[in-house]
Amino acid sequence: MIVLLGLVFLAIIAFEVPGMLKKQQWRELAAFSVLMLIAMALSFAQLLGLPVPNPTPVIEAIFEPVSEAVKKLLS
Amino acid sequence: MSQNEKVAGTQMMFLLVTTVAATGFLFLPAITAEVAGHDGWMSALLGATAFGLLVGLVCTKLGGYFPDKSFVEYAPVLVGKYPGKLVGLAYLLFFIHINSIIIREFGDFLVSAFLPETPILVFNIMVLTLAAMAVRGGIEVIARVNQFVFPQFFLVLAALVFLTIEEWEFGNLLPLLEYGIKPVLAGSVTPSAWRGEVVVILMFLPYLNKPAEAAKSVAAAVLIIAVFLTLPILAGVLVFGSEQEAHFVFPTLELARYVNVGDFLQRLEAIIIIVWVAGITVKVAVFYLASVLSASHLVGLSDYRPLVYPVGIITLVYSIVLFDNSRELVKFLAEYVPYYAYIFELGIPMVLLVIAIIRRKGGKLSGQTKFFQKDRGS
Amino acid sequence: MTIIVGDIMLNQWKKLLKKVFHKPSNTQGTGADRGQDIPVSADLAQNVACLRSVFDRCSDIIVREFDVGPGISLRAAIIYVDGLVNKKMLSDDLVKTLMYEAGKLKEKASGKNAADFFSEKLIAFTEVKHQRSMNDLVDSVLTGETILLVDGINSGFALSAQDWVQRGLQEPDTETVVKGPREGFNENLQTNIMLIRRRIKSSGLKFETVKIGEYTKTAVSICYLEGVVNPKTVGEVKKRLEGIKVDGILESGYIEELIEDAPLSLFPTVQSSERPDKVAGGLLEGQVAIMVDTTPFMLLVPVTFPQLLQASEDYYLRWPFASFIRGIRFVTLNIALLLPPLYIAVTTYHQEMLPTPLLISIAAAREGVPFPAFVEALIMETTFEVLREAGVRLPRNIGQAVSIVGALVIGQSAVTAGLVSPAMVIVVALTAIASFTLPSYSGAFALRVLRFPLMALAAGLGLFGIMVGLLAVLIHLSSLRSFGMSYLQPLTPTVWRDFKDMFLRLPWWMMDTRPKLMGKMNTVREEPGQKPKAPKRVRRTMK
Repeated sequence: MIVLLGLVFLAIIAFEVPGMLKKQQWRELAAFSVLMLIAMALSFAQLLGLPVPNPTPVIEAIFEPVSEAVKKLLS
Repeated sequence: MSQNEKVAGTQMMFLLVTTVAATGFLFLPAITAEVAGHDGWMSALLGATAFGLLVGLVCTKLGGYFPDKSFVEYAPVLVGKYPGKLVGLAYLLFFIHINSIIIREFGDFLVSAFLPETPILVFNIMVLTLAAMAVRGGIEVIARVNQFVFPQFFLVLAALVFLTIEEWEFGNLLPLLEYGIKPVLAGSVTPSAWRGEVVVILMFLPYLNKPAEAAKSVAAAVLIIAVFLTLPILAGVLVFGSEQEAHFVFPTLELARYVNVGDFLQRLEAIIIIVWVAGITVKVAVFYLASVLSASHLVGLSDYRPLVYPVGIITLVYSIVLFDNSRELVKFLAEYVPYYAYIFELGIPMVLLVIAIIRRKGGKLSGQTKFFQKDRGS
Repeated sequence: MTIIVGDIMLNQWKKLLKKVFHKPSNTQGTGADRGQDIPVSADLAQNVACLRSVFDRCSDIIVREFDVGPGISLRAAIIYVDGLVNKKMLSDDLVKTLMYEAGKLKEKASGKNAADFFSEKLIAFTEVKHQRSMNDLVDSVLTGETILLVDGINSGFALSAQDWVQRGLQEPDTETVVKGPREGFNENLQTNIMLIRRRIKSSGLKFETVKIGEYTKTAVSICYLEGVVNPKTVGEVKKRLEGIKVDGILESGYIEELIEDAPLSLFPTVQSSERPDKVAGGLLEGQVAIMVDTTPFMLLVPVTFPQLLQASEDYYLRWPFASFIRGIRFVTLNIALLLPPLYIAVTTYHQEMLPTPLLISIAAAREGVPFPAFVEALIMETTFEVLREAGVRLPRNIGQAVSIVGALVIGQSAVTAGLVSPAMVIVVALTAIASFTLPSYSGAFALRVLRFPLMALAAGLGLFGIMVGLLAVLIHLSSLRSFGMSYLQPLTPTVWRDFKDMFLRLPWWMMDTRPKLMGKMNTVREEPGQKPKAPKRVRRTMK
C-alpha cells in the first residue's frame, strides 16, 4: 500500500514537472512542490496511522455555543 | 491563460443548480424534518431562498467591482496585501474543507445505500479522479458536462416526485405552522448554508462571458434550487409523514424505493443513484476547481493545472479523516457547518463589499481602471 | 528550502530532458535525394548525362535521344517514367512531329526565343511548363510528366502526358447506400478532384496542392469552398500540414494522425470518407477536405461527434424516414456501447431491477455456466472480435467459411456445451449488429474499444461503475476539440438552430442555415419559404 502510494506520487511528479520545467514556470513549480509535500505528509501519515490534524473538533468547539444559542432561541 | 475560457450565463446558472442541489437532495430532507417537522418544506422554500438570494447579491455586487479578477485576487486590493492574502488562504482552506465534506457525503451515501461491502476510499478516489479530469479541462468542460448531467438530474427529480403521487397523503402537511414560526426558522439554518454554496461564484465571475448578467444567473439559480430542494422534502413528508422521514438517513432514497411504474418498472433506485453520482461529480468538480483556482491565484500563478493533483490528494485525505462515521457527519452538517459556512458565505463577502463601497465613495478608488493597474498584488 | 530542492531537481531534470527531447541537429529533414540545385544548361549532352547519373540504376526511367528533323540537325531527348505516361500520345504527337515536321516550318528558331518557338509552334500538348532547374526536372519526371530537352535551349519542357492504370470508380465498401450515388473515390488525386468539381461547379471551390513526404512526395490537396468555409480553419489546416516532416505518406491515415487535435484519444477528431457526395456535402457546410493522392479515403475537418452519426444517405431519403433512422442510430449507439456492461451489472449486482419472470429465465439459462457473467461476456466479445478480424483479413471466399464456423461454434456449440448462456449470445449478437449501424468506421471503433473497460467497471462496481466510466467518457468528450470546434457541438455549447440536423433530419425546406461556426462566413443556406405546395386546383364551373 505504501509502495503503491509512493508510485502514485512519483507518477504525478513525472507527469507534471517536465511540463513546468519546459515552460520555465518556477512559481508554479514552487507552489506545486509545497502542496505536494503537504499532500505526501498527510497521506503517509494517514496510511501509517499517525495523527493527522483534524479541524472537525476545533470547529465543533468554536461553534458549539452558537449552535446551542440558536437552538434555545428558536425552540 | 485560463481567463480565455468563457461560460454563458445560463451554463453558470445550471452549474450552480447542480452544485447546490446534488447533495442537498440527499441530506436536507432528514435534517429539516427533524428540526421543523412537517413544516420543513417552508424552511427550504422561504428562509433558505432568502439567504441564498442575499449571498448571490452580495457576491455578484462585490465581483462587479472587479470584473476581471477572482475573489482571491482582489481581496488584497481591498484590505491590504497581507490581510487580503490571509482571507484568500482562509477561502482556500474553506473550499478544500467543504469539498472533503462533499466527497465524504458521497462515499457515505454509496456505501450505506448501494455497495455496502466496498471500502469508502474506492468511491472517494473515483469521484476525485473524475473531478480532476474535469478540472484539468477547465470551467468550460465542467459546464459542458453539466449540460448533460442536469437534464438527467431534472428527470430524476420529476420521476421521484410525480411517480409517487399515488402515495401522497396531504393530511401529513397539516396543520400548517403547528408550533409557530420558530421551528421553521430553526429548520432553515442548514438549508440556508446549503443554498449559500452559491458563494463559489466568487471564484468564477471572471469566466462569465457577460458579467452584467451574473446577478441574474445567480438569482435564477437560487430560485430553481428552491424548487429542486423543496419538492423532495415535500414529497417525503407527503409520503412518509415527518416523523418517519426524520428517522431515515436518506429519505429521498426511500422515496425512490416507492417508485413503481406499471408493475414492471420497479426498484428504480439504482438508476436514480447513478444519476446522482453524475450530479455529485459535477459538484465536487466545481468546488475542486474553486480550491485549485484559489490556490493558484493566491500565489499569482499563470496556470492552475499543476496544482490539481496535490490539492486533490489533500482533499482525499481529509474526506477520510474528518469524520469517524456517518452519524457524526450528519450531526456536523446539521449543527456546526451552517454557522461556520455563514461566515464564509455571507460574513466575509459582506464586510469586503462594505469596504469596497466606502473606499469607492471616499474617492480612493474612483474608477475600475485603478484596480487593474495594481497587478496580482504580489 | 523548496527553491534549493527545486534547483537540484532542475539540474537532474535538465539532463534528463536533454536525453528525452534530444533533437537531431540536421534540419534538412529525412535526408532524401536532394543534391545541390544546378540550372539546366544549354548543352544537351551535359543535361542528359546529369539526368542519367541522377537516375542511375532506375530501369523504369526511359531516356530517348533523337534528331529534330528533317533537314536540320538538332539533337533532342525525352525522359519519362515507363508506365506513367501515354506512350502512343508521346510518339504520335511529340516525337513524330519533331522528327518529321519540325524542319518543314518556314520560320526557324534562333537564339533566345528558341524555347518559346518550340512550345508555341511544335509541342502539341495542352500543358507545358518551362523548368530551369535540374531538381525541378527530376521532380517533374517522377510525378509522371515527360521532359523534353533540346540542344541549345537552357530550359526543359515538362509535358503533361500522364496516363497510368487506375481502378475504376466503384461503389465504396465502407459507406454503402441504398439510395444515392454509387461512385466512390479511387486512388488517383486528379480523378478525385474531378469527382468533387463535378458536384460543386463554383469558382469558390479551391484546391491547394502541396507535396508531403520526403521520399513519396505525395500530392495532398486542401479543398474548401471559399465564402462558406471559416478562413481560420483553412489557415490552421495549412499550418498543421506544413508541420509534417516525414519520409512518406502512403495513406490519409498518416496525415490524420499527424494533424489531429487529440492524438491520444480513442475518438476521431478527423472524419474520413470515400464518398464524393459526402465530401461535397461537408464542403457545403464549411468543412475543409484534405485529399491525399494514392488513397480513396479523404479527410474532413473539423468534425463533431454528432456528425459521426450522420450518414450521407440520411440526406437522400425522405425526411421522416431519415429522421427515423437517425433515432435508430442513437439507440444502437447506446446498445453498442452499453448493452454488455449493463447485462453484467444487472445480473451481478442489481437482479432486483428485473421483473421476476425475466430474472428466473435468465437465471435458468445461466445455470451450469461455470463462469461469472463478466468472464462469459469477455470470452464472447473477444471471440466475436477475433471472428470479425479474421473475416476482414481472409480472402473473400474463405471469409464466408469463417462466418459459418463462427455462427455454428458460437451460436450452437458453445451454448450446448454449457460454456456460455443463450442470453449472453443474444447480448453479444445484438451489440455486434448495433455497432455495424454506425456510419463512421473510426467512431464505431472507439465504441468497440470502450466497451471492454466499461465491462470491467460493471463487473467491479455494478451500475455505479458504468456511470463512472460514462462520466469519464463524457468529460473527455467535453474537453475535445477539432480544429477549434467543440467536439460535442451543437449539444454543448448549445446551438439550438443546429438541432435540426441532430436527432432528427428535418426536411430540406427547413434547413435554412448552415451549421454554426463551420459555415461562419455565409450562414444562409436557402431562400425561405421553399416548402412545396400543390398548385391550387382550378375549379371548373359547369355551364
